[in-house]
Amino acid sequence: MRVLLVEDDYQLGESLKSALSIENYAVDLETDGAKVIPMLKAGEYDMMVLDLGLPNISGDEILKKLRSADDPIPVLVLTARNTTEDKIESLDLGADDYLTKPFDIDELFARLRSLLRRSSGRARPVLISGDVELEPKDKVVTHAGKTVILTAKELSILEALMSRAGRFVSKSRLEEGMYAWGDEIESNTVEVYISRLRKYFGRDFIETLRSVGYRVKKG
Amino acid sequence: MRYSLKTRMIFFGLMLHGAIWLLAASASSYTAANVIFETLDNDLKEQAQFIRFSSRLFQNFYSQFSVNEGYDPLTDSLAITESIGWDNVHVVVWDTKGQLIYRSSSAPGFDFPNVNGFVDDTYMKKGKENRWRIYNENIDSIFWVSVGMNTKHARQNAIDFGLKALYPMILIIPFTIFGVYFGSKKGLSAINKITAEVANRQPNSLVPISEQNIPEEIFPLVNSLNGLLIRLKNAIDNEHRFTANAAHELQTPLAAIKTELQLCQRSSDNPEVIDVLDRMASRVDRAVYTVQQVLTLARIESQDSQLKMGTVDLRSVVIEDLADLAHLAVDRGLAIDFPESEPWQIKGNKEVLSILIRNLLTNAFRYATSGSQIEVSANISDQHIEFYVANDSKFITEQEREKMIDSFYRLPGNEMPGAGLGLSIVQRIVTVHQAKLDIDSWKNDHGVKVTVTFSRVS
Repeated sequence: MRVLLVEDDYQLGESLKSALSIENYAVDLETDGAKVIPMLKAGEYDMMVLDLGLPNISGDEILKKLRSADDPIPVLVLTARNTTEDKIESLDLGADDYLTKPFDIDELFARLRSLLRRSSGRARPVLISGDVELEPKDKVVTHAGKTVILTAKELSILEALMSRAGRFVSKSRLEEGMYAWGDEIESNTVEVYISRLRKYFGRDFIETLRSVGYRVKKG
Repeated sequence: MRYSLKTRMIFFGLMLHGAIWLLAASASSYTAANVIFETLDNDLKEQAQFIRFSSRLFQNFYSQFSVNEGYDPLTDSLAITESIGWDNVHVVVWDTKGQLIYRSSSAPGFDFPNVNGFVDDTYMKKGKENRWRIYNENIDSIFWVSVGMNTKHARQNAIDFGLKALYPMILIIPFTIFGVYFGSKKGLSAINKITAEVANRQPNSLVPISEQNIPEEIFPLVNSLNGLLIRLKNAIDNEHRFTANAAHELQTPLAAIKTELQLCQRSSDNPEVIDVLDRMASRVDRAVYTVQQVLTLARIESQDSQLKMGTVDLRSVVIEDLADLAHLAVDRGLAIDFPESEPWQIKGNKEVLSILIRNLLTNAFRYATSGSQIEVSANISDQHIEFYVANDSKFITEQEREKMIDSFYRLPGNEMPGAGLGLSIVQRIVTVHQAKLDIDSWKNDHGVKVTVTFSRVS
């Protein structure tokens, strides 16, 4: 895997380069924004890690130029700007993912892996909570190895919970996931489906935080 | 003691009017007295003239018809005079040697005159002083006539006239008060408008006061105030920018340190080294957290005057933040008591309120005694929503509780990661929302209850 790492802080760039090398990425480090586009044209890169605050040409400009030239290279933006608006702006400009400094290198690696999976068209990994597994692409659910057939709404709630395993999901967010089905949502709809899921997977599979939301165990 | 300009204007306005009335009354009395005394003089002169005229008439008459035997022209003319009966006019007649010839009834004893013309004199009558106006005339070198009048009535009339001239003015008094009151009110309305504008400003707004339609008198005041506001805004902006830039600049080196540390951790097998690296990593994390909190604070401070405020159901914001963070508490074995309730409608900015809620929740989740219960709730009254987060903790003194809001203050012996900025951020957001922050004890100082009181929107 060839990665173009664009980071104007040379020391951080060097640290990152050695970190990525350990994970078997072939890394080219560049500190000058003006040289990025020519380098991408010259070399075959599988993805780019891009800092936004660059000399000469900013990261935002590079993203704009890339996407207007229909270059599909996966880009992970790495920046010190950490407001929601900054993130939205970068994603809208064509970034595939966003990570704020300072970051955890394990998270960086995970995001790069996920970026590669997506760009190569591979499905997302299987969601696992206890003895329940959900394969997101084909929506296949197994409980202790046995396949369980769920309705679309049951699946929507299960997926919402399992993709955030370990953390609580508010009732209103679960409801939002169900609006897609176009039906009227009653005040107790979520409770009804939660109790159905509990029937399939056991009482303790879903934990309730009264008046707040629900969660499933992580891992 | 603070004076109201309006009260002053009304007070001085009425005082001035009163003085003007008195002056006007005195002036009219004075004029009236002049006119009355002039008339009085004319009357006296006329009376004397009449005596002169009638005595000459009788004299001519008698000498022409030689009937002067037993008749005296003077006596006859006086008799006519008396029969006409001039009001309050008294006559005394002497011969040229000073022998009293005639004295009208109740006339005081006038002094024997020696020159023609008017004399003012004072006579005592029944122990009272009476002032008289007297006209003396020598008629045909035969006799002297003194015609006098007590001026008491004339003076009384002059004063009466002056007072009567005042009556219509008394009727005007209510109109004057009304006029002065509304005049000053209208005149001061420009000042009141500016006062209202200043009073209704956002507490943190440093936008200059509008200088349109400002009276000349207070324009310099408003103008220099605006100058001050602009300088203050620039100073604060610079400070915010500096803080934000400084914090921002720290992020890249911290990221580099963290990356290097993690690389070391991965490549080392030596448990002692790994131990040291772990401790370093947790300190780097704390620095990272502090920098992020400083950035958050700087961001809120730099944008607080232009924050978009709308009606927000605070409770639904709390639910989303609780859902996001509750695993930190539940995984520590803490119970969260979040009772059902109606919506908590307030005016505010959702994103910034979420920062406030997250700070309060994170504090409670971190510092709550293991196995205890955390209360997240609100007291609702007609006007207020008192949102509170309460948790059990180790013993905290009142002094420690009071210091909690101070920037970078951390409770002694605190081992949790944190910057000591959480409550400073909360305080800032509370101020922006014109709300009130209270930190109270909970369970006899073995706990903390943080309450934020918002105005309720119905």
